[in-house]
Amino acid sequence: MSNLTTATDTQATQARPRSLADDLRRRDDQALTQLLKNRPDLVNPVPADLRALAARATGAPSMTRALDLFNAFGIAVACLAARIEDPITLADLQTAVREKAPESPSELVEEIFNQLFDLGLTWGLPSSIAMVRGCRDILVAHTDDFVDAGLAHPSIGLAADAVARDGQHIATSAAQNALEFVRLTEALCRLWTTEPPNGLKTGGLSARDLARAADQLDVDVDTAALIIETAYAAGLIANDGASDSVFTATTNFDEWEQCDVGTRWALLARSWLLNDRVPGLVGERDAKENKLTALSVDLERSFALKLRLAIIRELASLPPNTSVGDSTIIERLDWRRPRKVDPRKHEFVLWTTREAATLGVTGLGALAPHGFDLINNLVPADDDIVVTTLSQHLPEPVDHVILQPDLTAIAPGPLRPELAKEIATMADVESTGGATVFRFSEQSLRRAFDLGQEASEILDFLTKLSRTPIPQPLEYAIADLAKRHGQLRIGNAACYIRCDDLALLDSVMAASEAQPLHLRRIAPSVVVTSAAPASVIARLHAIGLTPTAEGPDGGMVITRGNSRQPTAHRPQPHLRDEGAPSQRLLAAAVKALRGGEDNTERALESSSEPSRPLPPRSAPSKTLGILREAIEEGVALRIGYASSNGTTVEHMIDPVRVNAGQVTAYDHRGGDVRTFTVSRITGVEALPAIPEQVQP
Amino acid sequence: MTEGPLIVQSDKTLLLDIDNPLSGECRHAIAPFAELERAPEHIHTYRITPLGLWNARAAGHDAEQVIDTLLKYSRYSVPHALLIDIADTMGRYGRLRLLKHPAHGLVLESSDRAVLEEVLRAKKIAPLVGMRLDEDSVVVHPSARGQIKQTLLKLGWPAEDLAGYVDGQSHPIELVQDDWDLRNYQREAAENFASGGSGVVVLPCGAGKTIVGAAAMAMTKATTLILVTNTVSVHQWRRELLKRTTLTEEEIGEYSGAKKEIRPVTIATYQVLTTRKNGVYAHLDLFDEHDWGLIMYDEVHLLPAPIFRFTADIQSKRRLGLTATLVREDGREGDVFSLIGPKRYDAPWKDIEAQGYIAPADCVEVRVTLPEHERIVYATAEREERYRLAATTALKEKVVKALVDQHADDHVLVIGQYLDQLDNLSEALGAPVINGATPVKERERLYEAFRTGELPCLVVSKVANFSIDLPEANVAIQVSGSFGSRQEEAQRLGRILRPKADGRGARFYTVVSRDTVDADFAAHRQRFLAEQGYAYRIIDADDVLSPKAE
Repeated sequence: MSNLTTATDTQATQARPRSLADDLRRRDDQALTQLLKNRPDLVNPVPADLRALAARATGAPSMTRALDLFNAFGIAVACLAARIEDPITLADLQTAVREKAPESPSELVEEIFNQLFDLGLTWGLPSSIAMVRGCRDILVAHTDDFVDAGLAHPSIGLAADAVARDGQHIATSAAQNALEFVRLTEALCRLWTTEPPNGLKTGGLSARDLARAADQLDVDVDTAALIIETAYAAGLIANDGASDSVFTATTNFDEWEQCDVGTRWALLARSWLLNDRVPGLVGERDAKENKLTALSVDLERSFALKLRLAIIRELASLPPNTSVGDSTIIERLDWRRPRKVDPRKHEFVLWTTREAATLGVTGLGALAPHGFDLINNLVPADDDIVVTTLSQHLPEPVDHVILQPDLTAIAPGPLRPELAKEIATMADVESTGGATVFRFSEQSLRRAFDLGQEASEILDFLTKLSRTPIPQPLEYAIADLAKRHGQLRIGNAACYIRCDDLALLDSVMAASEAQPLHLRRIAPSVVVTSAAPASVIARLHAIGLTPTAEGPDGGMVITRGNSRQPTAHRPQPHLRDEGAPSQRLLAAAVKALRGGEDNTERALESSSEPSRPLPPRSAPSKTLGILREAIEEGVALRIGYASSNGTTVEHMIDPVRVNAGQVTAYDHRGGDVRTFTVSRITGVEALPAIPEQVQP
Repeated sequence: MTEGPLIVQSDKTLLLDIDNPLSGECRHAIAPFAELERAPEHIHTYRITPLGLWNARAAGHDAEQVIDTLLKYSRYSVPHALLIDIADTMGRYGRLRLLKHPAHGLVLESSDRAVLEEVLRAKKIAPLVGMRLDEDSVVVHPSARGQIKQTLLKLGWPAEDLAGYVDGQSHPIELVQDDWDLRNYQREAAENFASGGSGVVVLPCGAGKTIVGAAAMAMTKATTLILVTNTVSVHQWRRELLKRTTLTEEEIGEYSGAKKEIRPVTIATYQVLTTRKNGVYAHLDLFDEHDWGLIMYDEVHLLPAPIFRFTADIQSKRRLGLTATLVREDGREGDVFSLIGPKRYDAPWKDIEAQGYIAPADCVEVRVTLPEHERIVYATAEREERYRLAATTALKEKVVKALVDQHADDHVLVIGQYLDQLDNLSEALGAPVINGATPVKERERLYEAFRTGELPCLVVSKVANFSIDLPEANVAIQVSGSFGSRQEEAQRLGRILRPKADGRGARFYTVVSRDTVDADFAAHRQRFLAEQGYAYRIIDADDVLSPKAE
């Protein structure tokens, strides 16, 4: 129920409020909370008092936002309301609407009438409603054609291209793509760990490196750009910031890699959804004919995040398991946000739907259940919901492989992580996807032996893991390698100390400082230890020796630091007024506003000394509030104004319009309409009513 | 979750679960567009390649069918990107078409102007095309028909060749099916070829490719040029054609080093065609000298480069390629596709074996350990000498001797690469040796003696790799080979796959020196057959030398 109608009963006997601020003061906490919830920009930051709130609410940007909440029909009705002189009544509005579109549902018109009030775009008593002037200005600017088009569609139905799909099929198909996207991202990060591409001077990734990544991931360039941009947005890759900069995986990647598939996907999907960059632009040319490159600042678009959210929300607004074409999405976007002029909407919708499919947010063109959860839970803390939904549709993990005589092992589904990890020590992954194909080779088996496994352990593990008996060639390969493995003595040692001066080695072995290293002499001139080379060097330094690190070729080694980029440079895009503010914040805001109101009133009372030559000093925001209120109420003001010679002069003005920091007003002293700069107004005070004839 | 038999991988491989009840049906459904890569016991691997998809398009399958098939049989849902990629790739075939033009001879026409513009801008295309007729078509010089197809394939826009064929001089040829029948797969292969016009038929060794050739000739009914690998093969083809068709001795000519006959059906060797005299190919005129209606390439995977070049110039002739494996060690499978034609028929070895048309084979790898002194020599030898040293160890002779003794009742072929090794073996086994130096007459005499059973054992060099019909051979012992050649391994196995009168299985031994490059090469050589489902058993040389109960 609208606050307008509830207010009717309690305020029936009261006088008409003088202004929006006055009206807001009379609204109860619930109504204020509702207002702040629907117009979250008003609490960001929380205004000092209700007057400041009204000031902000009547500012053009905020009103534009509020009007953007209306769909095409709603805004058309609002336009008609704006064409009615104050006071506006519901009956007048109904008549105006019926005149143009007789079929329009009257309850919908009433709803819009109430909504305008609830949003603080109109104010007053039900019998005489006034529209905020700025709002009226915006609305009357719309053409008849615009209004007629809006009135024609009270609601939007489904287009002919809507296809109902099988829900299960959508979910599994999307989950499969999600899995694949996670795999590709992981592959990219690994690739860039071993071969980090150089950053361009302009900050982006060269087209050649992009093509190379696409080639190595075996995807097309557009998909590669999406993977790279998403990994970047998720903080998994970053520019290392060095002078000869490279893009490489971050420490976040190491953490991410350890998570389960669902969690990994949730991060990627959220990073994609809330990205203010447009991967689809990669490869296009800018105004200067320069190609836009991935990871460059040129891909940032202020509208990207909101438009992408709007598109996915549009998908979420369709009946469940329905897919529609891009043109329908555009049609629905136009209806739902008729006043938005989105740059390159058609391409953006195309990119977004394609990207959503690649990421597995949608399957078969319809929003998947985990995609639905994602759009409804945009903060990282809610990832669990997304992960739970997604994991229901991921293929069941398998706990066995099929060993084949051609030295391959095939896991016919996603292998349980711990098993996958274990088998990866002894076999190389040959292909991934629905299943995983492992190939055993001498190198891969040697790796297992190097990790300290024994032939019997490997065979035991494989016997347990495999549904088929171990093929003879594999058994032979393991046995052969084990035999040779035994011939050469292999132990685990982190480093060795080599010295031709046996006496010196004797002294090292004997030194008490070297005891913690657990040195073992494996040959007269060679000592090994399981301690890391760095700590061995430090210990030997302590004894007063000067060792050098030796490489496999016997040459000196200069160690490089960790190649991981320590932090992700890319901050998450700010979730400004996306998602409504929490109930607690709203309650606190209302309380603060009421509190602020009391303070202001007290301050006003104490400072309203008529004898003062200049109005009391006020902060620009408060000045602005009073100015707007005065415009609404049509009252004259006395202001202190800093003139260009530095002195402060008193002016008496009838403010007309506030725009871009300028007040247009009738100046009683000059007798003409002029503009004042808001920041130069030192203070402001209401004047008693001005005689009729002076009004401009 | 549907329990389909197929798992689609991100790298465009398909895993087919053979134990799934739907696997047979699925295999037939995916065969037209996916190449069988490996066919071991439980899970077969197929690969989707652009070439395979274009082959499928050429055979009349469209992207929708391919995608439907994948979705129908897939156990998990199929990556979206892969489906798009398939549709895109298949969509590239046929945007450009080669057509006959009444006034200009041959034209390249496009349904997609942008594609035509793109390819015309390619440096390699420019010299092959002539006048631009209109926005969508351009004249192509008739002699560039093959080359432009080859180049367009490399550019990723394979042209559909609709320019048709010249019929050549007609010549009556019929099959004579008195005491035999065309097998189902042979008929299917020949029919696929006849309806497609040109292309390649892939059948295992011993599955009767010659008969497919004869059937194709009987369907074409025109003068035919048959290109084969060597003279013995010429004689075999000739024998088969005389037996299987209405052709008479007078109608079949031999064009080889020894004879230069040109008759309605002429069988020539690759070798004579690629012989150069003063830097020119003296015999390539053979292609032009007669108005051939059909040109057949036996063992098309061995087609030498000059023949490729010449084949590019005779694109208006019907062409049939026959092979056991399309694997080319030089990676020119794309040229086979664009110059000979798309794959028209392919059958997995194990399928043919299951139908009883090739003998089941047991593959055994016998591992010998080099004696200490040879190991030292091996370890210190130059890299290029190592294989020879490892492959020709004297120990192998003893093992071969023991194996031959074990198979006293069988027909044994001992196959090797190195002539002195073969001579030594010949001496040790008391069996004659056939190598490149053996006169053709002598070879034929020995083969005949082997066929009749007079000779139980033959030692042969690589001359016997191909197209030697020794139906009774059932044991082959391989002692050395040309390094890691997969197709040589397949060919050698093929020698003993002819079904035996008594239903005996074949035994294929490979004697390998353990822990040397010999073993590495053996592993590589075995990949093709292992992938075709042949499981190699490994035994130790000691088990052969002092046999326990086997």
